[in-house]
Amino acid sequence: MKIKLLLFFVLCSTITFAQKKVTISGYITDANTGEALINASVFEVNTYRGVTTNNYGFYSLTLPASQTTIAFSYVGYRAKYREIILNENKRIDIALNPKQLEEVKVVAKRADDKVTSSQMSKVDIPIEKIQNLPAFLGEADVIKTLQLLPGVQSGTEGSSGLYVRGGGPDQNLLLLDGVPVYNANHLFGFFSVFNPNAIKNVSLYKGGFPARFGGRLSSVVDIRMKEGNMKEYHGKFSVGLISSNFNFEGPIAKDKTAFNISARRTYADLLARPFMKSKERGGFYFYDLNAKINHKFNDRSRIYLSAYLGSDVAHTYSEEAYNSYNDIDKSNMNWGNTTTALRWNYIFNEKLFSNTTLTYSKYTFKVGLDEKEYKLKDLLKHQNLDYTSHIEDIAYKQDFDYFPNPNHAIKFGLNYIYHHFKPGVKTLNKKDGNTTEFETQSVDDNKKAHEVSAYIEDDFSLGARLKMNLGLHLSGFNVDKSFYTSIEPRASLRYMLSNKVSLKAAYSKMQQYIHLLSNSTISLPTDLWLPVTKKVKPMKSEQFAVGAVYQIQKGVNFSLEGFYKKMDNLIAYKEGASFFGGNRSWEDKVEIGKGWSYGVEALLSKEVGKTTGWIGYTLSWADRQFENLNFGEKFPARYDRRHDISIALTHKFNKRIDIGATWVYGTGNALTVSTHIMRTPSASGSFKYGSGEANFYGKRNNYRMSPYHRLDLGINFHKQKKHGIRTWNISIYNAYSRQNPFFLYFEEQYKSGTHQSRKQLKQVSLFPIVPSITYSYKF
Amino acid sequence: MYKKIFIFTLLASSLFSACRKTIEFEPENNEDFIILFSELNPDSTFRAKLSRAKSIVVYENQKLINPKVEIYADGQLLEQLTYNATREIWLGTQKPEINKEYEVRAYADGLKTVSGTTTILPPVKYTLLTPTTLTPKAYIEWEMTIKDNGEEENYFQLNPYLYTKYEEKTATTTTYSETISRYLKRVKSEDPVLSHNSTEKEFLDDSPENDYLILSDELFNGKTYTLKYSFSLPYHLSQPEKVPGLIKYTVNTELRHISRELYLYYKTINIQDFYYENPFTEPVQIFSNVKNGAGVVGSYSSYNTSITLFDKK
Repeated sequence: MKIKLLLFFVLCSTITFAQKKVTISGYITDANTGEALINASVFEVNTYRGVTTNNYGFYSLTLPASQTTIAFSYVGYRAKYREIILNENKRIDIALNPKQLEEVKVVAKRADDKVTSSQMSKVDIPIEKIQNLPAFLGEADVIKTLQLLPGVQSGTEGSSGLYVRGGGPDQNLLLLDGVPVYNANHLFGFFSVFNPNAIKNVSLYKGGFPARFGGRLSSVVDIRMKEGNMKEYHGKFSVGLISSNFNFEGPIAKDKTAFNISARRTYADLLARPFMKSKERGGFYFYDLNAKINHKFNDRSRIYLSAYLGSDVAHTYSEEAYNSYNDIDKSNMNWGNTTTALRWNYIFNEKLFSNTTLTYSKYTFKVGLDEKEYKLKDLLKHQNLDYTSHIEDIAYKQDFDYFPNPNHAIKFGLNYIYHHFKPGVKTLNKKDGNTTEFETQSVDDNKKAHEVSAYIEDDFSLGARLKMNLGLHLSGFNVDKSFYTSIEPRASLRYMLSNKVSLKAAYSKMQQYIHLLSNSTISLPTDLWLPVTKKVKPMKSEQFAVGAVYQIQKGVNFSLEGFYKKMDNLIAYKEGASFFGGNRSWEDKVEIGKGWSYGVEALLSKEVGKTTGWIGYTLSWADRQFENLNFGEKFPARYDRRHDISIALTHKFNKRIDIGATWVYGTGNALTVSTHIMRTPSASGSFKYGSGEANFYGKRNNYRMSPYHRLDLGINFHKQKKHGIRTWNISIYNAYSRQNPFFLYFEEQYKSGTHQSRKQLKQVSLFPIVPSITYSYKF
Repeated sequence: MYKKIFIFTLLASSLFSACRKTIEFEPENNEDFIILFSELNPDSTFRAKLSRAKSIVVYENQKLINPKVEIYADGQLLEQLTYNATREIWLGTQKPEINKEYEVRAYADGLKTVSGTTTILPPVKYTLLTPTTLTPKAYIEWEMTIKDNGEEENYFQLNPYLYTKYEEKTATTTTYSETISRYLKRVKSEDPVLSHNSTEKEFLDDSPENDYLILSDELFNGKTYTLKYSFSLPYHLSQPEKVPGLIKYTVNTELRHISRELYLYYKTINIQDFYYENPFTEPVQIFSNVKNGAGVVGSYSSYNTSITLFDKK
């Protein structure tokens, strides 16, 4: 009997396998520009079996041989249906046309990808949304838009820092065309380095990390630059209050080679220059330059070269004369990133897609100080200091996408990164008259490190309701004589309760081999990236998430997610330690500790229709614990935020006018404030109030700033001109002029007629209502 | 440099018309407590200084009511200290012994009893090399050789001071007066273990001064180390023979072998002070080993040498 049963199953399997299957594959692109569409859907209308395109717009769908209808769709684009006789493998490239806004056409009855995908804790933001939302000083900003999402916080007012699910700003992997960007801030974090005019797509992963990502604990921000229009030349320039930028793209050889170039520069320094004294002047500016070129060798082979160059520059000059002496002081400071990616896509066959990438990334910080003292024309003293630090990566990455059948989408690959950390090279020259007194050069912990990783993940279906993404990320890191390894399992699961509701769960283990040393709670260019050492081990995290997604109607979704994240080997400065000064290495100055964060995030989003946007709410906790901080007790992390609400909406009245509004609310940041004054001995040995006083702090982060809330409004007026579309944008940042806390400090208040004093807590707010206007022209 | 960057950040921020307002502030845990400061050394009798922490939101300095200080050894009360109002210090009659542990307890009505313990350390001798420059007109360059035992972490404090003796003669009497002036601020050094007032640091202005001249043996553990520093002399004593009444003038170098508690206490005071006005750094809590209160109970033993710069015999 058993043998008969076995034979029966074998026979059934044979029948199943014997059924002929064919594969259709190709690229989905924008019909107007030829740009690849990322995450576009391709599915069989009858069975809803389908796939999504990868980061290069490529798809591969294997189905039983038959005659069927295939749908190709993408949010904001008119879907296409193709009646296909599936009798052999076929290459089908599809170009989709952008939808007119009034069109709300339901694409079959398949639920949105947000419901059907096994991926959770991921948000894709179309670049148009980023550009249409009101922006500070009219500067649309990728990172600031991400801050409007549940589970993501900004840190301080105006900052471009990202605090994702209780993690620190150093725990985010910011990828620009697959290249890590180490310092994503301009002007100390008020703006980010990502120029929206150069960007095509932004995806944020807060959890449920696919196995292809690794190296950071809390998030992955995957930013893809525009490839360039393969059909026609187009451009855009805009003039704002603080910067101007332009973008130009077009074909070098139609449908074969295209380029895209964008540049941005602030000009406050240029405008201020005429008003400055010749003996006392200074300035600040930043710029970005993005360029990309791509070339199709044939249907199988395509190459991309992209580059980014950006920098902040600050400089001062002062000349002071007294009697016959003359002092001349000069300083300059500049910092910025350079990234380059050379990428080659090759389609081996209908089921196997490969991507080979070589990348280069460098973040440099430089300071130059120069002081001269003259008596009449004779140089009395001259000293100058040069300080540079940098982190430099050269990487090779090989990725494969393999689609054996519609139930499996397998990704695998490997990655090698050569890191070069040069945290500080100081050169000090000192001359007295013409004699060099001394010249010193100090180099701190110049390190070279090797990071390797390999991954495999399979996104597969088990029946109609259950879909899983199981993966494994393996990594190793070698620095000095230490070698760390990590085995990081990743799992995501989706279960369809109905065709509109899915339940999801995810688990990720992550490991991070580099640390960001920062002395400050704001982003400064002096913040240093350093590798793990024998003493300071890699940071680790484990994150669990569960959630549900409900598709209210096509393009309108509600998701609810709960998460719990545990982090180990976090670092924080020891009490009283600072990176600067002293002669101990940095690893002796840090404490190693733990962190926990947990919470619930709700997101209601609408992606179609005249009104689009989202409403998000987060309830969360974030704690830290270090043996020698806060007397060893747990304390709330600085950005522990109990409640966080964000509303981001845009509405298009017609082709000429659209508006945008955002409102955010967040529990105040935690901070440590003094509760008492105590006597301490002064250096002279005195022990009286006034001679030696110090502040007594209770527990760490014992006080909450007042809640943060802000409303931003924006309106765009578009007009069709002879050669293009002119747009006036008027934005109002902080429309009701809320005085949000930027930082707090104490001020001495004296009792009249006495010498007695007490302290008053003062709050400094940065931005009251800030209107701005921007003119742009798209041709 | 760090300060320059910070100031630049603030200036850049102020471009966006920063505004200030006063916040009503009531600390959650605002209970007063005793601050106990006790530096014990085998050359002096037991001693302690007491004060009451002052809430930052009140004007008045509250006084301690019925305070008292006791010294315990091996769990037994050794003696109760007496208050010396002139010197504002609590003093005992006995001297602590080297290598022995003592507990200092302080009481005051309405406040929690505070206490701290410390072990008296033995002195560490050093060799004072001949000063390379010995002129009373400007400064003295010192070289001091410390031999570290390498067995445990050792902490030191350099305590240079001036000793002057004056004579005042009247027709019938001659009186003498002596002064000891601590001149920690007059020390300059490029020595890495001292990390104090180096020329480079003046230029960079990026790290706290070492106001209390403390150092650890971290960089010379188990080795003999030569510490170099210079000590500038007060201008009014540059021509001692012309100073009316001055009969003796010496420069003393005391090397204190201090306990870890004292080292951390002084270090954190220094650093708190340096970062105090920087709202973007995490405030520095001053180290304390005093239970239920603040302050420190620590110890030191000193070794002293002096150089006579003027002696009108």
